[in-house]
Amino acid sequence: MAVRDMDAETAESVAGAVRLLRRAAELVWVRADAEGPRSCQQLLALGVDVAADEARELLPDFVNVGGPVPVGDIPVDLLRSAEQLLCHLCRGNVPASLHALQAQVVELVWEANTSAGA
Amino acid sequence: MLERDRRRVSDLLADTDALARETLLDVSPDAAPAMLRTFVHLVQSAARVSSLVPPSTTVPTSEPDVMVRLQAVGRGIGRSVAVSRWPGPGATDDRMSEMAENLTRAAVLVESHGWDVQTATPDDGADIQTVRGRVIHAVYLAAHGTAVAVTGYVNDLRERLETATRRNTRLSERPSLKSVPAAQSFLSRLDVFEQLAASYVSSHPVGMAGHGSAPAAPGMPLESALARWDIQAHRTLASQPAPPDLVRVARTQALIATTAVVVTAAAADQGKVDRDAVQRLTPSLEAAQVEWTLTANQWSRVRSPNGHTDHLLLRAASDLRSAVAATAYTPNGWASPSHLAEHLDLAETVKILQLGMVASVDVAYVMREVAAIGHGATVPPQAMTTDAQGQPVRATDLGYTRPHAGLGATPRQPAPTAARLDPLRRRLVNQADVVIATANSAVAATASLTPTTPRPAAQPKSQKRSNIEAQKRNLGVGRPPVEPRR
Repeated sequence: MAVRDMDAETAESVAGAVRLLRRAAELVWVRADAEGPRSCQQLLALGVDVAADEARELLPDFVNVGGPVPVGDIPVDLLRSAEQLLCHLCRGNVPASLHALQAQVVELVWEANTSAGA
Repeated sequence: MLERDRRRVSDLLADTDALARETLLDVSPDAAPAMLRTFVHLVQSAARVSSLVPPSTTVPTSEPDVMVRLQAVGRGIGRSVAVSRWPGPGATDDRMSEMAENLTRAAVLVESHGWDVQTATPDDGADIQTVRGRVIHAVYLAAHGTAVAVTGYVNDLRERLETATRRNTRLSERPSLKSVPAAQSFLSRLDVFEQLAASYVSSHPVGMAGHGSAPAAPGMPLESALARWDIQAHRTLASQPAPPDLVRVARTQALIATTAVVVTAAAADQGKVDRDAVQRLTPSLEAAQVEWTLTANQWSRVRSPNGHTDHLLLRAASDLRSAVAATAYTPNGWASPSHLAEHLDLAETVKILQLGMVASVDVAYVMREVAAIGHGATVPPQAMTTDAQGQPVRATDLGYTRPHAGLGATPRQPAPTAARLDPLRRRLVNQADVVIATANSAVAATASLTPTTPRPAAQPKSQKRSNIEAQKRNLGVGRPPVEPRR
C-alpha cells in the first residue's frame, strides 16, 4: 500500500499520532526553553518535532491534522500513546515508512524515559 | 575578427588565479558595487567547473562538497544584491567577469571533450584533483578582494561626509550614509563566505604552480552533518520556505549554538583551548541560542497546523541531531568534559563548531530577508517577483526554484494575507536583526579561540589571534578594518 493510498481510518490514526507527537514536542520545548541555553532537553525536543513533521509528511494534504489537543502534560506518556497507536497500525499492511516512524518513536520514548529526558 | 580562444583548462585556471590575485593588489572602493554585482556569477561559474571534477578516491562520497556550500551562500548574497537598495543596478566588474568567463569556458571544454584532452601535459604534473582547490582558492581571493573594496567604500563615504561637515557644505550636497547598513551586511556575509572557503584552502594549499597538497583526512560525522545542514538550510530558504521550515531552521541553529557552548566549555576544562577566552565568549554563544529560540517561537505563531516542512530540510536536521547526539551526548544528558576528551579531538571539534557558528550568520541574514520581503513565506507568491522598491524582478534572477519535487512532495500551505501579517512581519524582521547581531557577536568572540599546547607554566596571553587572520597572512592578504564611527 502506498502512503497516499491509506484508508481514512489509517490516515486519521496517523493524524492522531501527529497531534500526540506535536503536543509532546511542545511540552519538551517549554521545558528546554525554561532550562536555558544548555538544556539537554533540546535534543529530545528536536527529535520529537522531527518525528511529528515526518508523520505529517506521510499524510495526504486533504487530511486535517489540526484537531483536539491531546490531554496530558507528561511528554513521555504522550509519546507512549503515539507509539501504541503506531504499533497498532503497523500490525496491518502498512508502508515501510510507518514502521520506520514507529521505530523512531520507540527510540524517543526510551530517550524520554532516561534521566536526561525524564 | 576575434581570435579563437585556444587556452586549455589549465591555462584558463592559471589566468583565473592570476586575476584573483590582482583583485587584492588593485582594489578600489569605487569598484565595490560592481564587484558585488559580479560576485554571484563568478561563484556560479566556479561551482559549475567544480561539479565536473571526478570524485576523489581519498574523500568519502558522503562528504558534502565545500563548493556546494559556497554556492549556496553565494546565491544568497546574489539574491540580496538583486533586491537591496545598495549597490543597485549598474555595471559589473571587468576583472571578475573575466574570471567567470574563464571558468565557464573551462567547464564548457570539459563538458565537450572530457578531462583527458584538456589536462596539462604530463611533464608539468598537474592533477585533476587540484582543479577544485584552485577554483575555491580563486573565489576565496575574489571574496576577500570584494570585502576589501566594500570596506574601502564605507570608510571613504564616512571620510567624505566628515570633510563635508567640517567645511559646512550644504546638507543636500553632502554624501549620504544610507548605503552603509547594506554595505556592512554584505561585509558580514562575505566574511562568512571567506571563512568557509578558508577552512578548505587551509587544508588544501595551492601554490602558484597549481599543485595541491594531499587532502586532509576525511571530516568527522559532525562536520559533514553541519555542512549538509548549512547547504540544505540555504536551499530551502531560497525555495519559497513555509513557516514550518523557518521554525525548523531556527530550532536547529539553536541546537548548534548549544553544542558549541558545551564543547567549548569542555575544551576549556580539559585545557585544550584558552579558558579565559571561553569564559568571555560563552555568554555570546548562549545569547545566540536564546535569540534563535525566540525566532523559532515567533515563526511557530504564524504557522498553520496543516503546514508541511521541506522533507530534505527535515532529513538534514535529523542527521545533524544524530551527529550531535553521537558526538556530545549520553543517556544522562550532555557528555562530561572528561568523556568528551576521551572520545573526541576537542580542539578540532571546537573549530568545526566555530565554522558552524560562522555559517549561522548568513542563515540569519537570509531569514531576515524572508521575513522582510516574503520569499513566499509571508506574502502571496506573486509578490515574490518584485523587489524592495516594487521594481519587477525575475524570480530566476533571485535563484528561486520550484519547491523540491520528489517522493512525498506536497504543495506549500497558502500564505496568510499581507494585511494580517504586516505587524507580525515587523516583529519577525526586528527579531531577525537581533539574531544577526548576536550571531555576529558570537562569531567575533569565537575568533579569539586558539587551541592550547600542553605547557608546564603560564604562557603570555598576547599571542591570541584569529586562525583566519593567520591564514590570510600566509596568503599575503589582509583587510583594513572598517573604521569605527566617531
